[in-house]
Amino acid sequence: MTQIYLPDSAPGLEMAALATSPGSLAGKRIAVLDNGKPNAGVVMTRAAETLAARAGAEVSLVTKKGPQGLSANAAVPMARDVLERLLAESDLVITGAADCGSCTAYSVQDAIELERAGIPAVVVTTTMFEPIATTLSSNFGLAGTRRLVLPHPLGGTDTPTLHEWADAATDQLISLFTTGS
Amino acid sequence: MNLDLEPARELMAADGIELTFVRMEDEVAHLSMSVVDAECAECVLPPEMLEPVILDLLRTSHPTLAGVRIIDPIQP
Repeated sequence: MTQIYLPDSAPGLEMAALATSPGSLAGKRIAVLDNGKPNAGVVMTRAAETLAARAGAEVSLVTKKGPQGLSANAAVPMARDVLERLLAESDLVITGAADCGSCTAYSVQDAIELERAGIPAVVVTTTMFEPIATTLSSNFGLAGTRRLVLPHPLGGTDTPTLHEWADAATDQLISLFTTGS
Repeated sequence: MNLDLEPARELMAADGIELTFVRMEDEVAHLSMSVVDAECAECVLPPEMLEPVILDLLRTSHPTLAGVRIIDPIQP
């Protein structure tokens, strides 16, 4: 009996790898990619500022993810022009907030796109949505995305508390950016 | 059957969605979701992204579960 194999099939998942992690963050440019979820910008900007002060880096860009960085829809990928700006103006990116279903999916997707382009990117998620971030990272081709897990919820939490959470995350951010975990 | 829906229900509730067990067929759990708080309609993941997430959560209590199918009232 002759067996015939069809050589066609659905394209497989394109696997990604983390961008090279820098040994030190000194002198690095940190960007914040804000998807517009309530308090996302507040907590991520504070985290970036604290990290920069601690590591001798600088916050070079804080932008929303919509075209020209002027608006944000958390349920879509970042705009092309925003990606180009991030690639030109930053060495590291903090993105999120991954604190709903679709915004977790697209924050993870944005982070993977940045990692593919050589920019280490940390996804800020919350305890509630960590399972979604973990599963979708794997499903999107990069199981080991750099994920910072903060308490839930971010929206509705007062600013001093958000700043506390952001400041407390500095050691973890350094580790995520320099070692990937 | 020992299918603990609670972790999945808790996760969905954060997006204003209620998850209900419909039936088990060939080790595939069929679930229905309904909107209980439409404040953030775009927050909810489409079923094709949601199903593997729910499957991972349900497998902790039901390791032999082969799949999850979600009946989405928004989609035909």
